[in-house]
Amino acid sequence: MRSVWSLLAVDGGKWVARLLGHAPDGRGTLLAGNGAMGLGAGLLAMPFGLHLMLGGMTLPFLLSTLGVAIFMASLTLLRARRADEAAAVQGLGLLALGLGLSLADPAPLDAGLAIMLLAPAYAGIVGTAGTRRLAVGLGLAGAAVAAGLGQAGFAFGTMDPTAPALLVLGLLGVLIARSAGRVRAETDALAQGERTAYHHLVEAVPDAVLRLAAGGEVVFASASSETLLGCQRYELSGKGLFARLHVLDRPAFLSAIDEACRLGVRRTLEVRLRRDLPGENRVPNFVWIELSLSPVIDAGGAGRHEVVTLLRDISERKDFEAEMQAARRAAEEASRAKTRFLATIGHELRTPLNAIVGFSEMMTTGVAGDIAPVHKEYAGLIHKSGRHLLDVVGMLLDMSRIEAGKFEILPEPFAPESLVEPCLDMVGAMAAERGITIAAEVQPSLPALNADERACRQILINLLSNAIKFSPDGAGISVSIKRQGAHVLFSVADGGIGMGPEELERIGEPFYQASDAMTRRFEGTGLGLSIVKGLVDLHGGRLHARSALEEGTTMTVLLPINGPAIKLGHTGVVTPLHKDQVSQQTPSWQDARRRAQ
Amino acid sequence: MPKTVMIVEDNELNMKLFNDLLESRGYAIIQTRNGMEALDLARAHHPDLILMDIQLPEVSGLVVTKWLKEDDDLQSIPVIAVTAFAMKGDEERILQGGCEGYISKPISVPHFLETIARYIGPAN
Repeated sequence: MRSVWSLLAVDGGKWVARLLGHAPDGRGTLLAGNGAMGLGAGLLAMPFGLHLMLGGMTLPFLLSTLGVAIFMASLTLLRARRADEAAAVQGLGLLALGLGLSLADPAPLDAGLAIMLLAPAYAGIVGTAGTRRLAVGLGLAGAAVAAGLGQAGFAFGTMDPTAPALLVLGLLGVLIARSAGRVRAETDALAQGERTAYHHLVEAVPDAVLRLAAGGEVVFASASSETLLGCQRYELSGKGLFARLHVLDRPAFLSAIDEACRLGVRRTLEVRLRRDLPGENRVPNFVWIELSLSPVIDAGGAGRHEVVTLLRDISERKDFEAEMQAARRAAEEASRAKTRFLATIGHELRTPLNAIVGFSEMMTTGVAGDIAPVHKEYAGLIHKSGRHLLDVVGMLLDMSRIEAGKFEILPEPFAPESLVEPCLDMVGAMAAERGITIAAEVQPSLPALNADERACRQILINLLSNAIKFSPDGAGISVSIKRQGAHVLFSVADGGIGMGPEELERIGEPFYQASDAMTRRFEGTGLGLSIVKGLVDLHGGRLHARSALEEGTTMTVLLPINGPAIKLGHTGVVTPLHKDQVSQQTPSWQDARRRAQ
Repeated sequence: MPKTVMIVEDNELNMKLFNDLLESRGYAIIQTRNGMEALDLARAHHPDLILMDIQLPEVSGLVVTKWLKEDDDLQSIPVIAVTAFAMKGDEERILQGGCEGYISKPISVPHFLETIARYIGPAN
């Protein structure tokens, strides 16, 4: 049942391909289908013809034999890929059948005439223009002869009143044949036009277009491949492309082709291909090419594989990537150099500073004997300044450790409210000097916070120091600690000079203080908030700043109650700071213990 | 006979600072800049307390402390570490290493003297 159906199907692609041994175009498929149908009809008619022949009537058998011969011949020609001739055999064969029918016996004269007139139409559709003209000529001539004979035959009897109708039928046959020829020509022109358009498309795109066989051999190369690789395109055909591939890229190329064919997946790969430069070149010149492989599986061709490949010159992009990489390496190296510099200079500064601080403190406290009061005052100033410098150096080292990802935090649960008192103590003297009052508000029954307590203290002290520094004398500052969801929220609000949007953007950049003018007004390195930002990041927390010029600043820190999600340890990454405040650090925030030496 | 403190410290300035501070309180001082030498000096003089810098050039102060604590004669001498390390873990590491106490730099004069006095009392 199934084979009968495919027999009738005009577009029985696979069946036709098997029959002919190759996949023909649309017309070939049509002809093969028609040929097969004609052959089937002839074979079916043969037994009846045989039966009639035994009854004394030889014509049907002869005609069916002729039909079988015609269609077998056309199929044979199709197998040999001679579609034009196959079409001519079919068209003219039908014509011959009609002629034989009408000449052999006057009875089926009308049918014979109709066949002779329709055969040219069929030939016009499937055959070439020559076949069509031949068929029309022969058809008209045959029809005229047969009609004449018939007329003569009829003349002996009565005049057939349908004879004039035969003339009309003849005319109609001619018209159909002409129209069919026209349709055929148009179709051909359209197909040709489409082929031309595709041809132009392929040749005009700057990317080279190649068709590769399953083994990677080049079957077709577009003209643009000549420009791309500096060679004639025939040089690429067969193994020519593979020979130009950089040896190191060959395995990748082969496996990509294999995958494309076997799995039908699209692949893109970057390879180096040799490009010929004009003149003698001893050293092969390779260009980076991006290959896009798109497998095309021909359903009619017994799974024949082909890979359509686009080649694009990506040397510029590759150069750019290399430059970017070099630039990044340089930047990383510069950053490492900065970190090294800070660490080294920090150590070098600390040793003499310790001596300055220690000896001046000995003089101030009179440990080594009494000195004149004015000298004591000087020693006190030296001591105070030395302390300040030590704090700055300490912050520099902290900052460089944070930036280098070497700052370790040890989260342990502790009560967040316990931070308040020591921090207020630490900044108390500085606030008192300026008549600034600090109000603390702590939410009752806070959960234990899993964080590095020392780091939290430093965060709070830095924020408080900043608030004090940028507040006018006698102002108030408020500190609050409360729970917010899965975080503990610390906030420090002041009524100080505040920051504009631009300054808010840059907040937390090391050494950045809100404005140059302010740097003069407020001393400090601008490191305090950078350290806050770094410590908050290490805890997986967030730092926010809300501020407007002359309206004060509120700094908020959110730390996750359960501690940092990932233990950062040595690999802590500190993201660049955005949003935070103002600056600076004041000398006294340090916790004596951690200030190292 | 004043109490004796041995200072193991490679930095000149720090050495002088500690030396002068302790001298001003009447302690007798033994100085060494070298961890290797410290053990021999300790055996020879049997000081009442050892002030040990942790960052020494050849052998770490922690290692010297370990040697001291392994010596039956010397293990009773309190060792106070002086260190620039200020990280949390370092404190534990120093105390686990056998030191009785530790002072971090920069020192505060009163705190320094108090700490010494806590272990061995005043010089006389």
